[in-house]
Amino acid sequence: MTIPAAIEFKGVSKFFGEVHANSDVSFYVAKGSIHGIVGENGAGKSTAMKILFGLYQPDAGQVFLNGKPVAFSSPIDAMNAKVGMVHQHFMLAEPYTALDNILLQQKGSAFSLLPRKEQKARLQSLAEHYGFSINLDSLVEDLSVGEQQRIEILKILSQDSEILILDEPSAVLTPQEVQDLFKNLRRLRDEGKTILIITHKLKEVMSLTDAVTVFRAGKVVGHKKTVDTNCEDLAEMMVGRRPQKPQERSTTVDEKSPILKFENVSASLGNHSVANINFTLHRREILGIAGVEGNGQDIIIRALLDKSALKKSSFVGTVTSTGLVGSFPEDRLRFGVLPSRPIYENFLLGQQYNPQFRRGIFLKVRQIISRTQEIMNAYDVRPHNPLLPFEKLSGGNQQKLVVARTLSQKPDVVIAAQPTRGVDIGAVEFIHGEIRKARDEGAGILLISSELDELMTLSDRILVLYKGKIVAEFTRKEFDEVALGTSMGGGR
Amino acid sequence: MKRIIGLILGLCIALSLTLFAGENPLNVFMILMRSAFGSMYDLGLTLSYTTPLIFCGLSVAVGFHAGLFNIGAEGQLTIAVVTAAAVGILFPNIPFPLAPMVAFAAALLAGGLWGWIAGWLRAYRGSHEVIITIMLNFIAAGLASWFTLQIIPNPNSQSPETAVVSPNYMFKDYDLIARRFPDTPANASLVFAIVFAIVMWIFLWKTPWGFALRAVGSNPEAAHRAGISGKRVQMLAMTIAGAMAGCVALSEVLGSTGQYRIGFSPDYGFIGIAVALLANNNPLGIIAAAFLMGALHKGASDLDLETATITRNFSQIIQALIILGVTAQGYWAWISKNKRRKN
Amino acid sequence: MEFMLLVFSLLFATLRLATPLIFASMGGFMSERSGVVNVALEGFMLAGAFAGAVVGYSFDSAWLGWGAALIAGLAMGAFYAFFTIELKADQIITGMAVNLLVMGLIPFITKILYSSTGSTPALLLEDRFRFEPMLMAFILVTALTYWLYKTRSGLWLLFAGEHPEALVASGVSVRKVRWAAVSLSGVFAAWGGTSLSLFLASSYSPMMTGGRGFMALAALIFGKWRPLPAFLACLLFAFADAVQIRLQGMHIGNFEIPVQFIQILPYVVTIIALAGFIGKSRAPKALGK
Repeated sequence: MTIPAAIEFKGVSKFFGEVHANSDVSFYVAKGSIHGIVGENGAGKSTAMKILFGLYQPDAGQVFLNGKPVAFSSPIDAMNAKVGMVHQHFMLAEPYTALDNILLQQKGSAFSLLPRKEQKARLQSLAEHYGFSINLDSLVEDLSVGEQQRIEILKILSQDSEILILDEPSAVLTPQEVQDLFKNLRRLRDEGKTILIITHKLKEVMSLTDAVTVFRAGKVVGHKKTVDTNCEDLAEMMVGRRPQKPQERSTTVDEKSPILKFENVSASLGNHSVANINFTLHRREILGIAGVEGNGQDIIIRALLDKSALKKSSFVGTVTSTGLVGSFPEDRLRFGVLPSRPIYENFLLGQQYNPQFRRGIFLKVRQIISRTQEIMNAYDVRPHNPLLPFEKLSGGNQQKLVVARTLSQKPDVVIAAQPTRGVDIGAVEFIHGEIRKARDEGAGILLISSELDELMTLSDRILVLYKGKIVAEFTRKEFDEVALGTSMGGGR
Repeated sequence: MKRIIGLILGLCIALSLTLFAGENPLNVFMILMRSAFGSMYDLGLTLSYTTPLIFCGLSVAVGFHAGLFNIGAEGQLTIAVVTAAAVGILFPNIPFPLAPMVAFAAALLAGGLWGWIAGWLRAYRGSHEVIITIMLNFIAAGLASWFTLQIIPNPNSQSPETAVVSPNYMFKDYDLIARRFPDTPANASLVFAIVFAIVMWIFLWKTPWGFALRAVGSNPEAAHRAGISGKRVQMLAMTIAGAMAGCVALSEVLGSTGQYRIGFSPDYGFIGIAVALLANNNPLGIIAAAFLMGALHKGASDLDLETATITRNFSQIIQALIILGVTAQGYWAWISKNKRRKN
Repeated sequence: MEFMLLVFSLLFATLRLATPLIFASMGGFMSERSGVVNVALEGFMLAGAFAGAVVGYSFDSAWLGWGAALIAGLAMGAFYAFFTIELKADQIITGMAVNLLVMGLIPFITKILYSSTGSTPALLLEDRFRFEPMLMAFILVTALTYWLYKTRSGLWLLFAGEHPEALVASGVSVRKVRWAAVSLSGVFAAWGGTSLSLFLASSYSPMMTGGRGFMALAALIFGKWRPLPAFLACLLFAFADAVQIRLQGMHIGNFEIPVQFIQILPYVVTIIALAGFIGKSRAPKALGK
């Protein structure tokens, strides 16, 4: 090669105790390109990027920038070498202005005054140069997720960074915002910046990147030019086998037995609300609710499970359901479990008053433990030890346990909110299988998700939620990615 | 195990402080031991401190399990003890087995109410229970002082104390423990304390309500989704906590002195925090931890006489350092981190 | 005329009584804004009051006492910082233990120094502060407000308590910011302590803070963790205290209000203040983590 690669990893390894987060990782990224880093959760892609950004130091191997060996001991070193990173969870403090958030990272002595005026002018012109529209004086909490992301990017650009790392940048954006982001990224590339994008959405890799590196189990298992590959190949490399094709369902929706009805429901929570929600869920039906998070999904969930959390005066309309309602919470660690408590107590949570587990006023602790053991075996939650603290389980096993807890109670209505968030492909297939099984056994499932692929493989019907309203309905034969994506972004 | 090392570490540091006062730490330690366990009389006093400490330890622990920090045991027990004394003085004619029961029930109610106030404010007003309970401690002290000095003072004494309840309120005649330790305030309420600790353990680990309470303490939002009302649990926990602290009326009024004396409590409520912490909030462990802290307290009380420069307040230093030794489990990680840095 | 005099004296008493609260509250502000819960303010104040009284008495100088108190406060703050930041011990439990430790240590030291249990000998009246701490309190609040919103390190403090990861990502050590803030918290609270022992009184007496450390914390929460509103809350609590002193021995008709009822007034006001305002009391997000 004549031009040295912008970034090169040579034999980089990183261990955390027994875990080989990265072993012998080697790849390079051409200058002025958009480079995709793909892999499952825990495949080591984030570790590699954290090494590049100076958050971790490699145990072996060497990183080169523009042909020169570098060893960053902190993000500061990385920033000084013009490497910037947009984290998946934004590094922005909500109660302060966008400007202050950007000013935070500029160097200066502790007691120097903040140069708010000058910097505002400079940042504004920088933003205009790249075609960003940003109000620097607004508080971060008042900005949309897309705007917050632009601030993060502006933060990096204001440091004259040449290399940008973006961690799952599209996870929280509307399809429209994703398009805007991609447009901006291409423009940055054309100006000569090198961009690394960590993602697990293969379609985006195909449409955006110039080259792609695939991680699996801590190793690099493939390195391709984007034009030479396709989604199926990448998926196979990521998982190590062809993903199973879901078989078509053999049962049909019981149109005559509705089990959940929303009639003219309006309600609000905090500063957002839903209006005029109408739908009916039947037995043996999976009804998908599509939408980018924050468009009212949380209100629908609460209207079903926890009406008291909604603003009292705001609730109108009726919600009627038949039989037992079970749910997988949208954020399991926050709403679903007691992380520091043993697994069997987590299994008990929500069933603590169930007569099955009680003798008079006492809990049958031994029986609870053995029942948990059974369930863990049946749903293959590893390790099979009900006495372990819940937080010791991996993400996939945690979610399997939450799914098992709900489905083992044989609910009639299941609220499945983001059922496969943050779990690996193996667990995704398993959980999807269990959801289908519950449906075939007669349950009605309300699937609330922001993953179009998930919605389209599972649902019989999809409603699209945008800004608190149902803006579109699709039946299975009308499913169309573009149409769905457009209506999720509020377009027609 | 780490707790015990932390405990010993705290004790050692405290004892080595006595070097500054020109004392021999080993000697001080021997005084502590002798004074706590040296004779039946000493042991009786140690046990008489142990009893209220079990109650207060349980009070703090039940709060902890619900995710609340009850610093208000002192105020709760003050209100309860005054109430028990007031019932005994204002209704002198209730016959024996009924009388102590009525007084005890009143004490539980009063202590429970005082705890409930903090629980309610926390649940419905979001006020931080630490500050609220501390303010309630001051208020309780003020109210108790007023009631004692203005309403039911002891006519036969200049000391700030209430009159003595009529004898039918006391269970002295049936008290096997008190007989064993003559001339000390030790009494049968110790048995009650141990029974309550066992009941508390069963409640927390073997009943759905105890599970609900611990679930709220562990993750309130998840508990809420599981159909457990966090607000109700917070109020319940603080009420139980207050009632537990209120049980001190049993050992103080009904079991031994028959009155409320201002300043009778050497801050049982605060020492209860150390007790709960030492026992990792396990009700059964609290029995042992309370005995230990009771012994330390009794031991320190003789320091005034037996050393030239150390006062009984020394027990506060020991308690504080033990709490620090036990809480700061991070020093293991910290030491190993610094070792690595050096290598 | 007499009424005006009453109002005037009440206001003056309020300002005097507010002084220790304001300092302690600013101490709490530093610590809590950096993300460290601080219920040790009471202990810091006691340590400051004691150190100030001892040194002030020894050298017949309030200013030397003041200096010593600041050093004692710095030491206490650093002690607390070590446990909470380095050892990651539970902040509330550690704070209570620090309070207990100070309460135990003071009689231990007075016994060695003066063979007394708790109190220190009094300064001469002309040696103690006359108005200086009041003035310093106003200056401190103004300076802190300006510093917080205008300077780079003010921003660091805000982020340390709100989004520490963002601060790390900007290359500033959260640990160092918290160490500095918590140590300063000790200094300010001890400063408040000396205003008790060298300004409102002329010696240290046992438990002379009477819960002021906690009231200062309540004032901070009431003031939504901002210096100026917290300052106003301190004035409110001090006013209750001033009224309390003024009301003692007052009669309503033939009925003398029991002195204890009046004495608990400041505590009742504190509870009402904390309970009365609901909703938007957003604590720094990383507080206690």
